[in-house]
Amino acid sequence: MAKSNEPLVWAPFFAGAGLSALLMPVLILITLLAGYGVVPSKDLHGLLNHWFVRLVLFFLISLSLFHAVHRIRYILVDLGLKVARGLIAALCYGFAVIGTLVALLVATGLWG
Amino acid sequence: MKTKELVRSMPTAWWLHNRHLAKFMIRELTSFFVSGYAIFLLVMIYQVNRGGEEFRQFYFNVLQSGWMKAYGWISLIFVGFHSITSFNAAPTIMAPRWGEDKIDPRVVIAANYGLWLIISIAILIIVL
Repeated sequence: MAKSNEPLVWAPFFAGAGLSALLMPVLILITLLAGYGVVPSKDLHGLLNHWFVRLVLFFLISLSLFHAVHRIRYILVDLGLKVARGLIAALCYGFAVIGTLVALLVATGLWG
Repeated sequence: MKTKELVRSMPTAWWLHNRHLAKFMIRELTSFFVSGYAIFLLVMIYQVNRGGEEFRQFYFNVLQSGWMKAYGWISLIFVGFHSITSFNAAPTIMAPRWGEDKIDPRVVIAANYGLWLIISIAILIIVL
């Protein structure tokens, strides 16, 4: 049987699907509430400074990126870019890996 | 002998000819909003790292701007759609079993929605 590296991308894709589906709508709502002044600047700052919130957001950002690029990869192939599928896969997963590294630096406070 | 792969030509708008395919493609396209908000979260944490005054400026100049509110509402609609379709597809993707028996798909979907509701309310209570 031919070996496949698909599980390597399927695992973060699946984890990202669950995490983004559960958490993202309420987080967008909180951002919107901040936009309307319901969540004050000081509270949002304090929330985003908490280590547990940062840990959760790091996993959310990283896994959501892997989840999204996995789907975007297949959208682009389905929209007719089949000949460039190798390049598309490299660009998509490369973007998610870079995004994860940036998220690690930002979430740990090493960047910013 | 090495064979050449047959690449069938496919019109870009193939998914517009069928309602189910259009729905499928819209669901796939919501991924752009998921990745967009993930990047936005990253920017928000970065602004926190820059310091209290810098974050305050970001809060008033960016978070409270009209375009950001518009982007937020559009994202909420598309990411909400993304969540709903993910929960509805959960029994097909996971097909969980209880012993020898397959769990009723409606139970799996209801459990997903229930968990979503509990987590969302809990987060809102903590934040507000």
